Amino acid sequence: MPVNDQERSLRRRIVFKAMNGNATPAAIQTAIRTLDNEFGEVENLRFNQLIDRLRDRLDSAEANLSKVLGNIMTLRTKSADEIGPDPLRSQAAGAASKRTGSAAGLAATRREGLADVFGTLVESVVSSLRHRGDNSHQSFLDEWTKCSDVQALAGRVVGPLTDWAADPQPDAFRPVGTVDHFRILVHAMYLWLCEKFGPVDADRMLNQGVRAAEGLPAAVTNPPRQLL
Amino acid sequence: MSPETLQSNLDTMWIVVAAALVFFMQAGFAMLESGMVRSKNSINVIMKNYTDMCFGAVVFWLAGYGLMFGVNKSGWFGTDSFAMRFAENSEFAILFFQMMFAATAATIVSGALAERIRFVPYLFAAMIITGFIYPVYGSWVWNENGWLAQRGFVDFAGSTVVHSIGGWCALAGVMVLGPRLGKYGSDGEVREIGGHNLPLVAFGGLILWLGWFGFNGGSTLEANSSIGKICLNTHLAGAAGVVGFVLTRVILGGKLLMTQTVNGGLAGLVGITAGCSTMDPMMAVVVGLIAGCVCVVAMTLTEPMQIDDAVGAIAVHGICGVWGTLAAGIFYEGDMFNMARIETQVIGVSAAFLWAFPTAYLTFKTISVIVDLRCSSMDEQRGLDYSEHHEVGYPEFQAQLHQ
Repeated sequence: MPVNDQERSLRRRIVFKAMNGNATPAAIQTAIRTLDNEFGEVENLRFNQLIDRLRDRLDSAEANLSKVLGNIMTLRTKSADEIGPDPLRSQAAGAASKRTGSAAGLAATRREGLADVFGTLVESVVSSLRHRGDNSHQSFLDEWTKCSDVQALAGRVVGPLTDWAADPQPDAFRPVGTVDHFRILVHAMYLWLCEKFGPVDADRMLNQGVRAAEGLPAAVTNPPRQLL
Repeated sequence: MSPETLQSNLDTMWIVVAAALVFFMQAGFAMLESGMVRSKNSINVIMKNYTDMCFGAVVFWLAGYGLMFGVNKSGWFGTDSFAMRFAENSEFAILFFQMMFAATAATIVSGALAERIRFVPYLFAAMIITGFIYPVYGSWVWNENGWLAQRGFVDFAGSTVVHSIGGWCALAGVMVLGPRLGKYGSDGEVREIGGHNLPLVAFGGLILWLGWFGFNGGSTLEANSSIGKICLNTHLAGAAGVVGFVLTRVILGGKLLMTQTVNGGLAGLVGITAGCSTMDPMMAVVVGLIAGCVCVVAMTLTEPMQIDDAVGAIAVHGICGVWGTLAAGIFYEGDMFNMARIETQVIGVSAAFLWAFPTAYLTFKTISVIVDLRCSSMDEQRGLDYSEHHEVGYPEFQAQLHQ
């Protein structure tokens, strides 16, 4: 009995998160193929079996395989939204770009990757706030979208931001913007966090967000620290 | 070799060794201050310590020494010995020793202003402190014709001349700069901003303690038998400072933080600096104990006033310097509780504040009008290591910073 798309997506998330952003795009692509081609139909996937197969196909130094198995075992116990987004979307966009081969296509892919990185960073911060259990995440979203720096940005950034603020679903916040736009937004977020919780917590939450975003394949070409 | 020549050589050797110990205090300050700030600002703190000493040395040689120890007919400042090139060898040794003291005064300021002052404007301020504010007050006290020296003001190794002057300059800088982002909540809540490397703070404190034996012992400016008592008093007061700090914290019910305990020891050391040669060891212990308590009270009082001193320099150096200088008059060996002497001490510490604070405030304010004294909030978010120096202190954690 074939596994459903949701289960496939979860497996992909676990594997790529387990690779911890250290693998090259080629290694990530190989892992995707291995998962879909060889384990897509396997209902009860044994992850150490997967690791053995990956070891055959990848250079172990490149994929940092010695740590991957341990990471996978840890991640399997977590919920889907804690693990991180499905990397296949970025890969598909990258493939589309390669097919067209145009500069515009590459730029579009980069923008989308950047949006993934930015969105993951922001979602991580909001998730941290939500775990405080004091409605501070809602307060943050309200204040953030009213912030003058954010308002000054182009409507294409503020629009998705406002929509998402009304209903902050994981993986749903992907506004289009440049590095400078996102940097201003992250800074406005940092100022709010400093004001509300102090600089130590602000630094911690921002760093958590960066680490979450660094697990994305898109982070290879769009390092999240450029948004700081 | 005649006995006089031998004594002169020994004096010079002792002054130079003591100066080297005071120089080593810069390492202590660098470790203590960089450990007390967040990792993203550690290189900036080290750079400030490193460079204020170097720029300060040149400025002190050019102008400071002349203002401080040149011929002082008015009682207010010296008028010769600028950029000294020709002198007795022994005077070169004294210049070398005093140069280290001047660097210490500026370094005290750097810690208080950590994590938000821009580097180049800080260097300007440090040069003005080392080349003007510190030596002018020093000339009042340590130049034999200085007006405070003429009144019999006692400050043997610089509780006021070095430490309080540094503390008041730090206070001025802190007031002009304002607190770090988020240090105080909108409801007045005080947020603790912990250091990133507390073992470094402890090692820095111990290095400072070691350097203090040169700081106080070398202030005899000669190799004589009083050095033993001076160093003993120095050590006892430092130890009593920690004891006083711990007891006060236990009695008041606060937490016993290691960083503040180190500051308690420094408070005792600052306290004894003025009277280490004119007190018996029992009084040194009393001075240290009280300095430890004063340090706790001062730190407790300055926090709610939104005076964001990143390392506690104002309490430790400014306020404990005042206490130490008053104590040098109160517990003067063989003449304790002499009201005339205490009055002179009060005049001296007041003069230090009235000179250093407004002058430093004006200096920082003027610099802030001409250029940006404070870094932008974006730079504060990124950390001054990157924004001011394009280097990071801990590449394992920050290697990809701001690509």
